[in-house]
Amino acid sequence: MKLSHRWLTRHLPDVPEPYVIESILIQMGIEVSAKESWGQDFAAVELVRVVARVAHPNADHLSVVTVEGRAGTMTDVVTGASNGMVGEYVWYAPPGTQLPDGRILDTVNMRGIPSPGMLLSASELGFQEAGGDLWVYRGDRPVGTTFLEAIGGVDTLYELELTPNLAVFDQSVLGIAREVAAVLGLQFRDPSREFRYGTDGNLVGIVDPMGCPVYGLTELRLEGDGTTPLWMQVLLRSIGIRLIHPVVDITNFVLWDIGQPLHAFDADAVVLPIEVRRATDGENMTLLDGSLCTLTPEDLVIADQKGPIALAGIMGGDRASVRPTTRHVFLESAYFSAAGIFKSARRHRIVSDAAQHYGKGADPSMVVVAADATLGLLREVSGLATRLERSTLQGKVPNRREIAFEPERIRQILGVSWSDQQIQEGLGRLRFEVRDRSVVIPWDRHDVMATEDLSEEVARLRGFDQIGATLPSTPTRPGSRDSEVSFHENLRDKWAALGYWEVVTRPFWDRSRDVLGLGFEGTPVVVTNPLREEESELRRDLLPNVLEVLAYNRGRREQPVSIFELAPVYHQRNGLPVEPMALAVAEVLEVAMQYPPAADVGIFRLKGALEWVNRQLNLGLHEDPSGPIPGFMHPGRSVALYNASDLLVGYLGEIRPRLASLKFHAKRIGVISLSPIVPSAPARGGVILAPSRYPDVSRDLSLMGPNLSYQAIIKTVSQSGALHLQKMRLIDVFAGDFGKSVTIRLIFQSMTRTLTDVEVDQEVRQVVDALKQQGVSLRGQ
Amino acid sequence: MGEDNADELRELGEQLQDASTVLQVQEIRNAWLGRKGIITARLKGVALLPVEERRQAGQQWNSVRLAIETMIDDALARLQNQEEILQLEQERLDMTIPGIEPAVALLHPLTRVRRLVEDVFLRMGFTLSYGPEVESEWYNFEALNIPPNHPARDMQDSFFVDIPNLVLRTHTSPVQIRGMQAAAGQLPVKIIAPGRVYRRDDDPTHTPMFHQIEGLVVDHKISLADLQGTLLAMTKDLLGSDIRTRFRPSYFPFTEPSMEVDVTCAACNGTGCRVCKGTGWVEILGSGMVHPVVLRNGGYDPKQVTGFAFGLGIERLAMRIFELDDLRLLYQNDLEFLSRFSRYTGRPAL
Ligand SMILES: [Zn+2]
Repeated sequence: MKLSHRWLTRHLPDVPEPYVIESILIQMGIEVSAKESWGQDFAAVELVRVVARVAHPNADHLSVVTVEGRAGTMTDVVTGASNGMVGEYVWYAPPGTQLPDGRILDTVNMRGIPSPGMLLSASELGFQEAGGDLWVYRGDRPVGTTFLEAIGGVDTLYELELTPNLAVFDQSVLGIAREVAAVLGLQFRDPSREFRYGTDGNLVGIVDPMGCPVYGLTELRLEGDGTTPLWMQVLLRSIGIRLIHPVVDITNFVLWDIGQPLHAFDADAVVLPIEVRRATDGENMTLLDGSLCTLTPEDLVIADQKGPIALAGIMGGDRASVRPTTRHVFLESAYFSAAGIFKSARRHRIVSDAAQHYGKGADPSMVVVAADATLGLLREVSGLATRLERSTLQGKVPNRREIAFEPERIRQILGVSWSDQQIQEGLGRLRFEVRDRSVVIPWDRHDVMATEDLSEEVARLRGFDQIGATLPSTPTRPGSRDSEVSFHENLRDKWAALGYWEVVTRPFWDRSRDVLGLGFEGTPVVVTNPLREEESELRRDLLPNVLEVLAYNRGRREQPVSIFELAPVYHQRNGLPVEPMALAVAEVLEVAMQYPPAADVGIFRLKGALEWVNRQLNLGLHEDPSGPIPGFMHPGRSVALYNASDLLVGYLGEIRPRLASLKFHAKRIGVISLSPIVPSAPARGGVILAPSRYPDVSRDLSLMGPNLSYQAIIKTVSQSGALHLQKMRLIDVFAGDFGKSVTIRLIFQSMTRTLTDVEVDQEVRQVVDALKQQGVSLRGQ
Repeated sequence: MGEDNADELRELGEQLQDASTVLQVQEIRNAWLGRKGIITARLKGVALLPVEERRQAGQQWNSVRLAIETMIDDALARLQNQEEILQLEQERLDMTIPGIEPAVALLHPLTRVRRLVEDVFLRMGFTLSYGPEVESEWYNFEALNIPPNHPARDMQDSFFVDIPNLVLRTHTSPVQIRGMQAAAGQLPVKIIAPGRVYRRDDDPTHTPMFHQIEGLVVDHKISLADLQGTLLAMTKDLLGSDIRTRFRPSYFPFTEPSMEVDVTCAACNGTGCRVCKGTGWVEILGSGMVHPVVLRNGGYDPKQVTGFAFGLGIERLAMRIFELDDLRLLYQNDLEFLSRFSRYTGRPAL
């Protein structure tokens, strides 16, 4: 909602400075999302007096007008206007002035005579005025007055964000002024005069009293051609309301002034009597905005004997709408129940000022006040005579709600020690009437149902900063993360420490993004209203999201990429969602050009990282190079991963190089995909052995054999029965035309004595014999 | 000892003078003191002398040998020194070349900020609590006093899924209900619930997925003052003791009274700038006293207990801490951007 500071003076004669208003609004929970000054554009427009007027020598329909401005300056301006005679006061915009339509004025040559700027009509200033071309001023301000001064100077405009509860009662200048007055204890002008409706009961019948508890209708005859008073035009324009016709302008004004929507019908187009009823199925009507609206029995309509003339409380129909020529008017002031209006407006997707007010909840007691205010304002329109004819008020203003007054509970909820009297006084300022042990709720406070709500009211009024700051008195014992959460956090820490950057991706996914050819098992959770086509389901695999990040970064620049994410994936099982955690790691396998140069270890950095994490966090993973791996993986450079219960949980390896280059801007990419990711091996504690005090002996063996795998060598060596073999290390792998050769280093050591060469030789022989039985031979033998 | 010895020592001296490498000196040592060396031969000759001369000659040649050894050792030391100096000179590196830093990466800023907040509340005695992301409409809306057609459902445009009555949760607040149900009537309930949440928004200040941390305390006589005290402790802990905090009334269907919390803008220190739209304040969380309907849905009697709850946006806090103005950067995962966070060594320590 837009709020004009100037408008507030209607209800607050001593309106505080704009910055004070802003701080009060914030205290009351009304968010000020923007603030701007309004009217500055009018500062250049000046009141001038016409001192001479001659016909243009070269054009029949033009005149050269000499005007006297500030400090006696004389200016000749060419005008096509028929009015603006000598002695009249008119508005002059000098060159450089920007008009509301965006034009910036200049000195132009008008048929041989230079004309600086222009004399203005009302519409050129964005206002309405009956009468001639130029806007002739009839007030008593002196020459040189700016138009800005004439309309009361610069205004401050606030853009207010009203939360749904505040929108119920704060959606008007009156509502805001009341809040400000309550906080500051200011004098406040409450429009409370009520219109006395007549008893022409045959005008209207309420068929649905639940949807419409109160309905007032007044018949008006207008005579003459009035325009809306300038002060009202200024206020309406400042908050962005278009000026249409005095009757419509005034109902708009009353709507924003006191929050009560009104509607005017062209009475000549209405076939009486009017009914307030539910629409019939399939009934339809053309609305004011020209759209056709198909109604249902859930919609409340204002209908005459020919059909609906308004979608009640939301928008008028086209048939009986007020036109510039309309001089016979039915003025509606009514109270509709909020829920019905809210639902209808939503169903028809109509956002109108009336629906914005009725749909949140209006004040039934304002029906008669708004009617009175409207008729009063109509009388202010010069040149327009208003004659009141028939009128009627149907229905009855409901009683105000009463709830229990529980000051002790209010104190307890807020944690304050305010006295009963202070609380009662505070509520009173906000129009809550305390009677004995109950509180009478104002009609428009549909949001207040219980003591909790009253607590907020008192707190708002006195200021949230008046409430102390305490801590809950419950004893505090520091909390900690449980084992599962700690495991996840640990896992993240480990990968980051290893040099892999954590990324965070959104879980939205679509099979159109499946460049890996993952294939799809199981059932996804489908998003039925995605923001984008390519986000139509939730991911079942984390790796593609992480690879997209890799591709994004490689697409931007050729750079090393080592990233991981630990996040849920989503499956649908038996119609229910499950969200297991997954780990995905991706790394571009290339050696950065650097000095001193780095070693190229390829996929073995990633593999080593996983092996380290596996051991550190008891993941219990073991690998199988011949296990199942997805088709997009390099078959010779991948392993399947199993957990301690031999359940297949993922894979590690390289993406096929061709796919990597084609889709991810990198020749070689190493990846890990794991899900579910849980520690599956028991934690290992216990004794850490002291090292032997005796020297160790190492021997290197170069081995050859068909399909030599290191895993097989380890297995054979460790089962060879060599008693003092402590460690074994791979120190070289060499491939030549002879096949593949693997050099291992064996380290022997005893805990109790120094081993002799003979003993070590004996054990080496044992190892070699075991290897030979597996078809492995020593190189050079 | 006579002319003889002096000549020999002079000759040795000259030889050593001429030697320019350690190897040459070692050759000289061999020539003089080796098994077939000059002095060795002389010493052997002593054995042939008559007994009465043998003792004196022996002593004499021994002292000559000692003198020779000293001369050779000195020469050796001199040359080794020279060679070391040469080697050190040859091995000179350009030590202005930067070192190879260990390839340590960082956790995502959202993870770091989330943990920071969690740690603050863990110290205050909260425990962590979690709920599903694909959540039932009952937990996400109805249980939180947001019936169908409630305007607040407009404020939180939801993603729906192809499973009836489920949505992607629009906030972490459903964990309030789950947390109370899990506590099963025990007091106090004192939980925080971090997690991902989803809303159909995508612009510089909204992303369809973001992170929240929900807090909930339920006990006898919990008050709005307790909420303010807890949040003040949190903001000071998170953002430093010179931070200013402002409490404003607000509206959430699941709290009453409701309250939003602003802190002074980091970018301008409260004087007003583009980041804070000129207000000097940045909103960091929404909170309030748990609505009686919510307490009942969690299995607690609002006549017996009260509670407060709050929900904090991790992205928003991260933006406040790192002075970011575009939320979407946090989801682009541009390594150039992420690696910049390693330069952040400010307060709070992350
Ligand atoms: Zn700022």
